Amino acid sequence: MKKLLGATCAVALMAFGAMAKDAPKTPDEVAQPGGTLPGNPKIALVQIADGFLDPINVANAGDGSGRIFVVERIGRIKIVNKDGSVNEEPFLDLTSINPLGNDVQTGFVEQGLYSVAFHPNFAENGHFYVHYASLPFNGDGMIVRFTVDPESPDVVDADRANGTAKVLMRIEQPWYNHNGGQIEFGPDGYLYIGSGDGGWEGDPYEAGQDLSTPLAKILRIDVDVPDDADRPYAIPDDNPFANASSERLMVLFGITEEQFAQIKTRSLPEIWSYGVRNPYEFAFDQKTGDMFIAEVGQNHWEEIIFEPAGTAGRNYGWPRMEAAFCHPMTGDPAEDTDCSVVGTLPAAMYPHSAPYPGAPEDNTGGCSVQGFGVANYGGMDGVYLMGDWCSGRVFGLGHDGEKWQLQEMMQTGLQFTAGGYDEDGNVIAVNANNFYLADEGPDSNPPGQLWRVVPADEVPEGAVVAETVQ
Amino acid sequence: MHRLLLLAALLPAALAAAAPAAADGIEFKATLNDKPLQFKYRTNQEITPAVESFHKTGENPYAGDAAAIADGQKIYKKMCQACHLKDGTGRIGPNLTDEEWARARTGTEVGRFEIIYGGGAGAMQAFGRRMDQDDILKVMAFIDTFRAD
Repeated sequence: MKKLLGATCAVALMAFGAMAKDAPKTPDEVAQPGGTLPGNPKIALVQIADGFLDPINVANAGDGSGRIFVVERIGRIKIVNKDGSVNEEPFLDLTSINPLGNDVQTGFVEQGLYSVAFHPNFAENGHFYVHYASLPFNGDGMIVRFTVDPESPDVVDADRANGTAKVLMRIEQPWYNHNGGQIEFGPDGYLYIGSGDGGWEGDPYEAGQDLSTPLAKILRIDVDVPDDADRPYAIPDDNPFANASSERLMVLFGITEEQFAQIKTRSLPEIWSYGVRNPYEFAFDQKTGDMFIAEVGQNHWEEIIFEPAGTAGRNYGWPRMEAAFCHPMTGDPAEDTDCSVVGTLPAAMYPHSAPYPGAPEDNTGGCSVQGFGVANYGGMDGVYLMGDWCSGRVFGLGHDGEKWQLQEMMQTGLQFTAGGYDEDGNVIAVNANNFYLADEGPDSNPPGQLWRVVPADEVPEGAVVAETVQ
Repeated sequence: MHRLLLLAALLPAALAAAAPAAADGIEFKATLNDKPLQFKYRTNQEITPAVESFHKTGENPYAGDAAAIADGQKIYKKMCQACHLKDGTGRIGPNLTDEEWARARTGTEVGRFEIIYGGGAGAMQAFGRRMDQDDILKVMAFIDTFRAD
């Protein structure tokens, strides 16, 4: 409840502000690298722990234990204790729940155990949720609830996992990429699910603009239903398409066009927003409830979406749009006068080495944006931090009261894969050493690390700090 | 003697740490920040005469060696091609066929070895973790062929 109150206050305050913090209205307002955050904050990455196998997500349980849960792609969740020690025995090991082998499909580097989220009342009910590519279901995305045995808070063994497993959702996946990933409880207590467009490239299903598929969407569900209920979750009443496909009598006259437009007979009620390509990571600002989505782009641009708290039903454009540009890109977008924006623009974007086909090499961006979390400390006020999988850059996205600013915070040698928060609200991040090429498998790639974002002038003495360009 | 001792005492700790590499002749540096490169990967690998020679001279003994180039091409196909493309013109990774280098030192054999062994940024991982130094020299000999004509 405390969180909810916080969000309400912030929204009320914003209403009196001069310039509402929201998505840009025109492409030239979309922030690009080279901006400066208010106060020009300086950060460092301090290592918390090392030795994880392809870590690709991280979370805390919110139970006061101070534990950090690192998700390993192969299907394990490792506990990092408050003192930085890592428990040898995994918290959850999906490689061992099925006697026929790993339950997780990891054949392609984008597949695996994507993420973990803990129920807002985890301390009382022990429920936590995972999203993973299922091997038995040929890579379909499984969202499953497990329940911790209070007698064994650090280890959910195979028997306990099988005995408590409740499958909430299986998202059919046509291809082995863009299936991720993040699941996270919002400040409203509902579970948000990042669902990619199903893969290949170019969105062959046109999933982004198709309201009848869960692919290429952010979904939102209410997990708090009785275990004997007909469905494993409920639809929140204020989901944008909660009632759009309800059966009804047809009435043709006396209905406004706006009312007609609310009838979407094939829409899925789980949809919260649509037109995303690969929302592998997203995060809520713990202070305001605002949402940021690290939306992985295709060949030319990465984008970062801002969604004010509680704003439902937005269309983020994919596959009509890639960042602020029309998709597919065929040349220099500056010469494309026919392009008109579809949906809501991202707050920021950064380029790949080729910002458009035939462009001169650009060395300011990266290849795949991986979100960490929103920092509200160290001089940062609502700054969304993200890292790139290819370039090792860390970017910060913030609003200066007038417009969005995207600032390169540091250049590291790390391949970032994800982030989250510790229980104190610090932003944390993980890096893995996996890639499309030379992938030796999720148990054989060089190990990855867990980091905490700290203000540069507050690095503890003797701490291991990520190497950066000075 | 007296003077030498004094000098040694004045050497900053950072320089002293570079001693293992410097003792071999070449001072190898980390690509990201020019700190001394630590030879910490695959410590059981065989240090071939070619590697030993390279550490002393900074010149790749495999340059122009047809057999080594053929071996290097095989490794390139497996480890490098997905990003730098078959012809080296680059896609996710930069173009290797021209003489433009994001880091000037990569224009030298030593610099190219440094970035392959110790990594650059992000996806340009430390491939010293995945292949022996001898194989890195062979890949370098193959990469040279991109700029030969």
